[in-house]
Amino acid sequence: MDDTIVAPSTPQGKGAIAMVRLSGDQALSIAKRLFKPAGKILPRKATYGKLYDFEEGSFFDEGILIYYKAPNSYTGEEMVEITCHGNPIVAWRIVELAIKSGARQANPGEFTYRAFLNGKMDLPRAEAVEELVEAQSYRGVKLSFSQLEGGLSKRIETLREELLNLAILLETEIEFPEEGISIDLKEVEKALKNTKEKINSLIALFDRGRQFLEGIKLVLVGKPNVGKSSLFNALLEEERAIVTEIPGTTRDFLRERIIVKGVPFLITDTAGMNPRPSDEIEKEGMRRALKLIEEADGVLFLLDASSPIDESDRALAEIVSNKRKVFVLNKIDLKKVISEEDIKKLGNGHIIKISAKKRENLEELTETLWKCFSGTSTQEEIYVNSRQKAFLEGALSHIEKASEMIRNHETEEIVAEEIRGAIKSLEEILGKISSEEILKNIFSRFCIGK
Amino acid sequence: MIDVDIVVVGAGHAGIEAAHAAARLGFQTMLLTIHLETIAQMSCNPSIGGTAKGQLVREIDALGGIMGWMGDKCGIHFRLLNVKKGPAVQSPRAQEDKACYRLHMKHYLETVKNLIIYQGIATGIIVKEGKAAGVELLDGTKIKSKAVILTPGTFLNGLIHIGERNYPAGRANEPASIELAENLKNLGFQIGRLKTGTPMRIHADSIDYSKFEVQKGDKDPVPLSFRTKHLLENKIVCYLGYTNENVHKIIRENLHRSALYSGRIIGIGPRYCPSIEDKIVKFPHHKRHHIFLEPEGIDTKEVYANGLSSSLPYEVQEEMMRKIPGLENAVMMRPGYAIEYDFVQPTQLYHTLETKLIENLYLAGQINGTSGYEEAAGQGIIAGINSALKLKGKPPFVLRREESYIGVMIDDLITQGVDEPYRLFTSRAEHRLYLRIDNADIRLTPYGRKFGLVDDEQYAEFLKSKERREKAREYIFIQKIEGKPAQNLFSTGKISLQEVIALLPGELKPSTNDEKRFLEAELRYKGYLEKERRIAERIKKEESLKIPENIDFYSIEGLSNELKEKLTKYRPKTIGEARRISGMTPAALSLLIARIRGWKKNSEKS
Repeated sequence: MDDTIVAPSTPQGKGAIAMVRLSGDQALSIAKRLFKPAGKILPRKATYGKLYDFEEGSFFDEGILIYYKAPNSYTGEEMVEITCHGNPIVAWRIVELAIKSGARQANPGEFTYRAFLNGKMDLPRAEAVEELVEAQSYRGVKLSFSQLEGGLSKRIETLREELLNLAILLETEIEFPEEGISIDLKEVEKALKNTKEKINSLIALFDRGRQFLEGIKLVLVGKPNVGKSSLFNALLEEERAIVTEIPGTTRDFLRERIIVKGVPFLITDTAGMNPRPSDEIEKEGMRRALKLIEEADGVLFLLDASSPIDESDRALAEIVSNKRKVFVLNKIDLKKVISEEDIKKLGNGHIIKISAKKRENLEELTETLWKCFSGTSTQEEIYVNSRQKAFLEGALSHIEKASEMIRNHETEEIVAEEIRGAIKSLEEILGKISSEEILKNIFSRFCIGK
Repeated sequence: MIDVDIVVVGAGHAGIEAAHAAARLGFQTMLLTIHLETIAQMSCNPSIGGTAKGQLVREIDALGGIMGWMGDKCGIHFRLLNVKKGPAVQSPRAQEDKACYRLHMKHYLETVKNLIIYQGIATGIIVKEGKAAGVELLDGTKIKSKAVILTPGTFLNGLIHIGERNYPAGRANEPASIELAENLKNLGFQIGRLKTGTPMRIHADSIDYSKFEVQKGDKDPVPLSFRTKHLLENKIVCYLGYTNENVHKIIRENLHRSALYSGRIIGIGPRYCPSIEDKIVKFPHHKRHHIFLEPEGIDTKEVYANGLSSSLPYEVQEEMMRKIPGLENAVMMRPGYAIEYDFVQPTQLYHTLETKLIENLYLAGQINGTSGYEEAAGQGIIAGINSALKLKGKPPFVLRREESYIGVMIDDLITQGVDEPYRLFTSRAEHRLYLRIDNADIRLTPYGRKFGLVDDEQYAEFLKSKERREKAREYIFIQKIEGKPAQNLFSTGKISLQEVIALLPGELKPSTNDEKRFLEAELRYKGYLEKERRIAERIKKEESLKIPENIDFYSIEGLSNELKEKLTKYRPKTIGEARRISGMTPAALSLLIARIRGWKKNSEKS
């Protein structure tokens, strides 16, 4: 990187302090033009000083400067962090002065991008930085932090190495036909099968990552007047609700996020859903509701304790039959006419009795949601995002093709082509390339003479 | 004072192709060599071709180069490697009669129009206003030229090691180019040191061949060149034998006397062509290693002991040789040795092989960190063509990775640099299934023709054969057997190539092995080739994307000031040209592309 970038690293708006970062060869010399230190600037030591406006010849704030010497910095380049008082005007004046001294305004994510380009982190780690900043719950934060520590990278790296080993075998046979090294393609196929299983288990982690970072998707279903809206509102009041507009929600449905013990839940209320639609508008509403249910991780099935289970309930139960669900028996403050046996006939699932109106047993409900849907903390702390999942699936299809070719007695170079494809897909996840690496390994492993 | 257009320093495999191409493109060219007798000398193994190298030779040939054609003329043992694998990795290799190759190459070059062959030792490059303007010779002669191509091989500050001894030399008992190396350093080039080695040569009559396995040439030899008409003949056989624990013991005991292991060699050697001491140290569990005995020609008794490359003292080489079954009474004619030489880190070059430091100075071959006759020749022809194109004021000739091994090699060198002698491998090519011997002419002959390197007769024949190959392919693509596409039946192994050929009408039936191989490859790799073609087309399209003349590079956000300056200075006309500006990064290029695409959209709207 031959230019120096600058940007405020704290959010716009007033706060106690703000921080501006510079990265690039000129970071320190630019910083010195606008920051007059009280002492000597040493790497990784905080230095107090005054912010100097060289255009006007006056000081405008005081602050702390920390200098990180390359390559021991976040980006791997020369870096400076200046902390000033938290008025955005101050931070922006620092940025302006830095630009006037030869720095360039950083693009979004450019510090992390440079860290990636300079080999400070691979792509999954860089992505994890973004995911950590964006995570919607404490659980999500912890998950993305362990990703940042390299959880997923290590797993992908291992898979890539397994495939590289196979590529090395095949390439040795192709490049050195006279060395008398012969490989057993059956063994290759066996190894491929093993790798395939591992990739599948990684793909399975996709949903979990999404759930913890964005929220576990739950859909509230129930026939009209069963109390969906009151339960929805009660849950929002009970738990800390983050009332923001969530992209992708249709106007037909209300969707809100609640956090239960650090785990985010996205709850959608399917008000207006009629399992037996009577007109076009209702049909369309039904179609959308079905799609929501299809995409959901689980269903909150609401029943009215004061009225017997009827055709509408059974129709709904049919629709959500293959979903994980929690039955919520509402209106227990009224006369109860439904028994647990009646509910069990509708399907499997926990049964919680509440009164949304009187706010009774709501805590038990959220506790149950957490238990049923958030899994346990002993699971591995890794996940895959949708980009990573797409490449994992790409790798998988190459591996399946390679196995098929071995079974069809195809020649090495075509099998190798598929394995190279699979490796490339994994490398897309990590952001690296390999042909030279295959060669290097060939030589460290086999004795090639001719 | 001698006055020419282009001077080529060194008449090895790189220099020959460079000088030949430059002369054929119409420039008065001088090929300078230390010894007229050693033009086209094969300093090491007596063979041309091999995996990836065979494809490379075909590419040089398709462009109008000489290596393949001469290799067929002087070939005495021909093999197609990887016959049991698919057509993309099949590579021809020919054992050569070294003396024949040398003599006939010299004689042929003597007949090339515009080419002067001259004996002399270059000591320095004449540089005027940052441009190469000729070379100076040891005897004080000055050769004035408009471009200089350096192909000094191992002669550049060469230092031979045998055991505890070393002495400056370019090849055994030939003078090294020490002043020239010094001159390059003084001009400011970043210079590194590499090492290679060669094994002993043994008298044929002293070998007990009964202890070796015979390795015959192919019954139906595959030529290196598209132009070869005569029937190739296997005139010799090679032999395969093995080392053993006794041999290894001697080497282990004398390791301290090896130049390589005593620390006297600082240059890095090739991993794929290790010395015997290297193999024994790095692979201690191997009980034996291959030895191939390869005759160096017809009118000689010298036999090349492939696999025994060594820098051990003569007497140790002798001792270990005698422990090899069949070589108990062998007579050594030349000992093996290691040689260290200077190279210029190739990141200092453009893709045309012109140096960034000095305009009109081109480097090719081992000076760029490569190893191998074929790699040298491939660079030579590119340097020769580009030096001539530049003098004509024409756009440079750069082969892409997607269309040739030459492109893969040069791109690797220029963008990655080298830390050991670079050898081409098929696995270095992303488009391996497309870069084949059977279509090298389709890929590259149109370029050679454009530059004037391919004559009318060769071109007419190429067009005919190309048409026949492509028509046969299209014909098969639409054939069905019992309602199923013939191509599918073939690629899933349900019908054989013979059955496919039987479907073709008489005039489309393959008339050569290459045409047959082409058909097989195009059918078997169909899906992959289509995918590769799409990628290649996308890259090509992107490369040819025009940069508007009035674009303000300074207004492109995200570009570094350095690149803004360079772009403004060079004003590249296309993205392809912009890519070749030094310091250009993929990220910067995509910013530029995004800007141009946005530009187009805006101008379309208004």
